[in-house]
Amino acid sequence: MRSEQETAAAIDRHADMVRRLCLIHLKNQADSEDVFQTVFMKYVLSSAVFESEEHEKAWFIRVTINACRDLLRSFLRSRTVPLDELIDLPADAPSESREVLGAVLELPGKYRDVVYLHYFEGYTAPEIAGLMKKNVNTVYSLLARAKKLLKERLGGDEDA
Amino acid sequence: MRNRLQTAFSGVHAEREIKERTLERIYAPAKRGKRRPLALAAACLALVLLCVGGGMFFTPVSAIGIEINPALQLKINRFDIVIGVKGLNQDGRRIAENTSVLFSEYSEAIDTLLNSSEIKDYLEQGKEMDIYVDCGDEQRCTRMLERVEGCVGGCGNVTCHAGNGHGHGNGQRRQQRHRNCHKNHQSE
Repeated sequence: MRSEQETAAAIDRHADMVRRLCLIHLKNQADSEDVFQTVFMKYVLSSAVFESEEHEKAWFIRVTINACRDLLRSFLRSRTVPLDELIDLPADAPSESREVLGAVLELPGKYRDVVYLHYFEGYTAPEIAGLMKKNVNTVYSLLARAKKLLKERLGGDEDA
Repeated sequence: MRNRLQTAFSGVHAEREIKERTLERIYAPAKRGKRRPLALAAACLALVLLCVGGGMFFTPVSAIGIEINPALQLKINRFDIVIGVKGLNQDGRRIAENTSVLFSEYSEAIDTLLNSSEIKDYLEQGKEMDIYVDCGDEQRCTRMLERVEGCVGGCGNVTCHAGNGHGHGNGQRRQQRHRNCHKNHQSE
């Protein structure tokens, strides 16, 4: 079991990323906090030795995405009606950011991870494929379709 | 689009409260666990005190007998509370069932019984009433007798007695144990 100091340091390093991944999957604060705690609890109990900060970051991405999926698949959640009005966008975010985040959240779930990992975290398609255990071509396709949908929604230039 | 997405996601942060709550919830159970032996000891102590206290509460240390025609016996604990009411004959049993004196202080219980319609009827008919205080401790006996006498002060034909030791038989046996503290209110 990892020490409290070690965990606090990991929270400082990865909390924002975990929070963003929770946001694009779960939409509401309560579920996000559940997953947030689950992820760091797994970290505390994990005996994984990380070779680098990147390795650790990749571990957190995988565990967070899996925890979000587990929550969405859970027995209780599958029998409750989602309250979409609870979408948890940062209240103090500028309207432009809220619009962009809203557009990402409106994407089908399979596109959201790749959009976030590619556009914000800067992962390439092969890296995303490695992280998410997907075929590289599938990731390229997902990225292309997501880009198209976002462009339709938000307008603006396409980027490389 | 990349810039717009980066700007939008940059505005999302994990709130300080979530970080603090997460750390607290992960490590709090371990900290709470360390307090368990103490909590267990406190619970055991409370249980022992409850058993001892309960045992003391429900152990009679004295008794008060009331005889007119109905005969009743009140069992009293060390806190001067009535913990048992027993009718010694049919009328006594009926009064015991119909009058609520259990867990009341014994002087209140006597007051209630003397004011019950059935006993009042007997007293108004001029019948003699005997009240016996019976306990192992002479000091307690004297004190209880004084209080009982205080309760029946207004009733002319009530006689109060103090006796030694437990065990309460019929009226004749009790008469043999009467001590000098016999007082007859009728003569006052």
